[in-house]
Amino acid sequence: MTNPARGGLMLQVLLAGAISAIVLPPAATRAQVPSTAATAGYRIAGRVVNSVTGEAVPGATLSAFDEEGNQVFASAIADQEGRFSIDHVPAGKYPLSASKRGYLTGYYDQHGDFNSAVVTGEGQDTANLVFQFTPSGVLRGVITDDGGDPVEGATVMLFKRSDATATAQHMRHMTNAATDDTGAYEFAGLEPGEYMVAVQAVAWYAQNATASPSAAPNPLDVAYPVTYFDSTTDEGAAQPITLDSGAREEADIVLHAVPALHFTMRVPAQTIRGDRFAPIEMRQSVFGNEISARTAMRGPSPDSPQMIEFTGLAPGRYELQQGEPAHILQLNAVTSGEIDPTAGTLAPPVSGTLRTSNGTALPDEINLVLAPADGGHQGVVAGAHKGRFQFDAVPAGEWTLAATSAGGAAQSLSVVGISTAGKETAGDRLTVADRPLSLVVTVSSASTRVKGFARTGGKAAPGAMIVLVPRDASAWPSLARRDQSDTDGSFGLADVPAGRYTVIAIEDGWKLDWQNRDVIARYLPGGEPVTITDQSGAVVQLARPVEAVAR
Amino acid sequence: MLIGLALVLTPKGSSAQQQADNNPAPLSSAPPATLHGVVKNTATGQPLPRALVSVGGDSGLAALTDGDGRFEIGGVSQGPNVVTLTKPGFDDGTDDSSIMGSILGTGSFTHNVVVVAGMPDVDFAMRPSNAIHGQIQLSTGDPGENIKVTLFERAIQDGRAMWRPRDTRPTGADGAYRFAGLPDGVYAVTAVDSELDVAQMLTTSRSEVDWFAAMYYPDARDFSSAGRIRLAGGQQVQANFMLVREPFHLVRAAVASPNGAAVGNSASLPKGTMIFLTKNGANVPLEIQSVLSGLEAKVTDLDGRLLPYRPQYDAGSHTVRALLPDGTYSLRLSASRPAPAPPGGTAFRHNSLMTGQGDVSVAGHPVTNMRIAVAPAPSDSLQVLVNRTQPQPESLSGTSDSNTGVYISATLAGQGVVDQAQGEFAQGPTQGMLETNPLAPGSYWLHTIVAERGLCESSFTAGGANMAREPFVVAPGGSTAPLTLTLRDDCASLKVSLPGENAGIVAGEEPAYTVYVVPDADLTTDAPVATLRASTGGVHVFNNLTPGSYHVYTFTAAVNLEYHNHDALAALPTPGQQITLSPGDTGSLVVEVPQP
Repeated sequence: MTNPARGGLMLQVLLAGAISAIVLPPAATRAQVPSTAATAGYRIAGRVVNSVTGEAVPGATLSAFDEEGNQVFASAIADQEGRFSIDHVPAGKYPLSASKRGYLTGYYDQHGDFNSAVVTGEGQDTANLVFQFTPSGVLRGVITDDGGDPVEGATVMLFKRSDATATAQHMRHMTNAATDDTGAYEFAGLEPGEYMVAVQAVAWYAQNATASPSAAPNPLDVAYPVTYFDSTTDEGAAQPITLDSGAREEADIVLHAVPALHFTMRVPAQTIRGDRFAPIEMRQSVFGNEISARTAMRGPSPDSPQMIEFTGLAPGRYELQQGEPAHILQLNAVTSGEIDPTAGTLAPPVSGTLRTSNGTALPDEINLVLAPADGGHQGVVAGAHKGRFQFDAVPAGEWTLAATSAGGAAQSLSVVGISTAGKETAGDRLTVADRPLSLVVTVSSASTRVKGFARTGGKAAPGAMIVLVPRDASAWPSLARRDQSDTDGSFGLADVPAGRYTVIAIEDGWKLDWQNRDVIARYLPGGEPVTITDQSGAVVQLARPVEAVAR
Repeated sequence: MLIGLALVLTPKGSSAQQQADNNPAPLSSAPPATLHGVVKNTATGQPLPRALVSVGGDSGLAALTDGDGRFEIGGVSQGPNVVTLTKPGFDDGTDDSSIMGSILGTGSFTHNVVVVAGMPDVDFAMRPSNAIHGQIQLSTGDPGENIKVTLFERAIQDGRAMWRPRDTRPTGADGAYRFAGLPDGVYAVTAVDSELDVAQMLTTSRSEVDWFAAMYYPDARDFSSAGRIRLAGGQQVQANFMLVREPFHLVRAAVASPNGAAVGNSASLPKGTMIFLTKNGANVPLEIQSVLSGLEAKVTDLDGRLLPYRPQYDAGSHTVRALLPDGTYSLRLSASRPAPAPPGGTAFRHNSLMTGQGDVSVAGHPVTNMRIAVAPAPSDSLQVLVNRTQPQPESLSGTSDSNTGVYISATLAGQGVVDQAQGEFAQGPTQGMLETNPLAPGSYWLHTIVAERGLCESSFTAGGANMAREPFVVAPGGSTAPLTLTLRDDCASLKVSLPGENAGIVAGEEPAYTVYVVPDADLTTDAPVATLRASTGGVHVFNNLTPGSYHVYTFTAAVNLEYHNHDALAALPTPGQQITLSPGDTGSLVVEVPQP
């Protein structure tokens, strides 16, 4: 099943480093275990072992959640041999988590956003579980300047290479840490993987104010370029750091101050609203992730009311977004100079309306994300209110559009069609050029849940990767759904829109590049077909079990 | 610091900046001069390399000192300039830590330097800041990761020394913590495991769980036996300690309603039940259910010091539950909300407060039979009197002027840690009865501001107790002694001035002097303080002083004086100048300037 705490979110919180405790949804008050528990006789029990060494892990807190994952049903602490037991459990589904200092808080048999819930009941063996518990890693180091002094208050950025099997390989910006007075930083609670570290900092003694044109260059007008491990300012020469489970790695970086650049720009009059400017952003790309550049913007002054100046900028490549409509300028800053505000490409607004495929009402508030189809650019977000939305500035390129209902229970709304200028295209793809776009976006508001069982050789197949594969190739992967089978082999695929699908189950399938349809197509012959219509209702139970096949 | 360029700038705001940068207004039309000198480390007396000396604000006129601590900045306009010193790990040396209880007066002192052509070296000094660091170990041998460590500092507030939390941060993956940039002073450290999810444990009906009890360095269970860490001169002090795993037991208390009946379940006091409290003769309706559902519970020691164990109040069952290690505790409940206006009357400014308290000893077993009664805390009346020697001025009669009156705040007293922000206690005109904000049981220092020209404090008493010498005591149940603040209108003034030889303006750094005028009689109003500089005339007049005798203390640095502590005053390097001010008089005093 899907991780109760909406997996990805929880992972991010954990990686932020401050919290290595179990992250729980707000606990509702429950005076006591329901009285049925006193008589029901099922147990959730087993051993917690270190996934690297196989040794018992004592003292872990195990928590069985209710099926919705909203609250802890019961919890236990593992003894010296790593044994735990949660007794008097009624028949049901219980996602089981473990947490302990120095380990990655996670669910039983967790794979990314999925885990196998423990299913109790007649004939279910839930008393001999082996919980593989992964020790967390630590990445730390010291940032110094070229004089050997520690750099306090530097922003150290941590990036992690996406799952090695994913189609789009990229470095994801995980979190930031600030250095202390000794220049030290630390990222704790890390998953094993390949990491990159980059540092953004301002020299404590930097004097970036504009000198009068006649004055001699100020030797203290300096900046630190973004610097990567192992002390290089060339992103291509950055050294990856491989972190094993439970490992502690060190990455020290030396920063080298260089003369800072100054750029002036005459702001077009139409970008001044009242006495305020349209937003101006100087960004830079670090492993494909956009971050705000370190610069101070000064001006305008009464003498030059439309002139602004960027100071304290290290030489490098930047992206400047300014004006209305927004212009995006790729700036290769080598020497100081003046920026032409009309240069660059227009990032036009993209606006439109939303509708559902079956004409039913939409939620009032919907969150929309435009993600670059090639994964190389940051996404753009907008909110839709009563079906209307606008993205203010979308750079030209290929995009995919995703929608989720805002508010309490975020439900994914599959984008099944986008029409521009009266021409409808199936799927969630969108091409933005240099002109404003007006869209009509069709989403499926289906909330059908496809349930079934994965089996192999007549027995339950727990932990299998379940994929709902749409027959229509253009709907891949936006209409695809995944789950992990629970300990009794059961699974559920949520928010399935109308369409024809095949459900497949792959044992140990978690290392597959599932987003690549060619990889998945191999398994289709053994799958179970299912057709969902707008009349299918809340739950469709597959008539036959899905045979889990080996990867 | 990351500068977000999405910030919108207003042309108005930046134009002032631009003008300041481009058009420094020199006092003379003389050509720019050069400022030069040496920066030293106050702790070692050695020259300090790579210290940043900057002139003015954002003008870019700045230089780093060389290996011999020397700096030279050209192009400085002649006349007065403000110089700032910066270096990581150092504070500007303008405070005086030789004075007991001093802390750096933030922004109160700057280096005012009069620059002239061909001037000699101007020397400065920087004070190394201190650090406390250490390792938290766990008795289980697990790494002490993500333990919440809190640093307390001894600080002076309103002339009194008190302990207050300065910073809290989690330990790293191996249990290490560090607090840096600490000025000279006295500190204490405590650690608590932030990971015990009491809510989760309580949700799952556990009545006992093994966890780590909070500790103070070094291995003390309470603040009074905690170690005091004294820092000076750039020390790096290591403070390691251990958290021990031990059983925590469930403590459960039923909360009883104001009329004494136990609120076992919501049916016994239906939602919407109104009870009426008499408050100054007006009926104030309180919707008890909604007040109780906003109940806040705290665990303290028996002296009222907050402990880091967070209890839970369950509005459904009207019970307070906590998990506590063996020990003796006080469970304190409070709920407040703005009281609604009485029918047909004017709105009350004060909050209604409901409080309750129960003490409990935990010794190896759960305690589940507690009952805590919650009752409205009575609000007190405070009488303000004015002993007049002359008729009240026409213009000030009546109560219409909102800028005049008395303001009284209350701060939790005792040698414990201040965990409660200073709260407004009473406010109103300078004559008549004031209604006070209810206070939870405890001891409080009262602090008075008299904001009316010509009036000063005569005395402030509760029963027979002088509120400047003893704290105001609110007994459990809320009873207090009657409060009387007496003002007088025959106040005195004092003009202080620098001696002639210190009052002239000369090239170089201009000295600045902190002058405290401390009454020999204790008052709840602040002892007045001023900064004297030659460039601003070297004179200050203190008005609205209570007639009587005073000691005047003069310092060459920014000082936060613990003037309510007679021992601290007696320990000062100079005895102070004594002066007696008669009613209505204006005294004058040439201060004795300490020799450097």
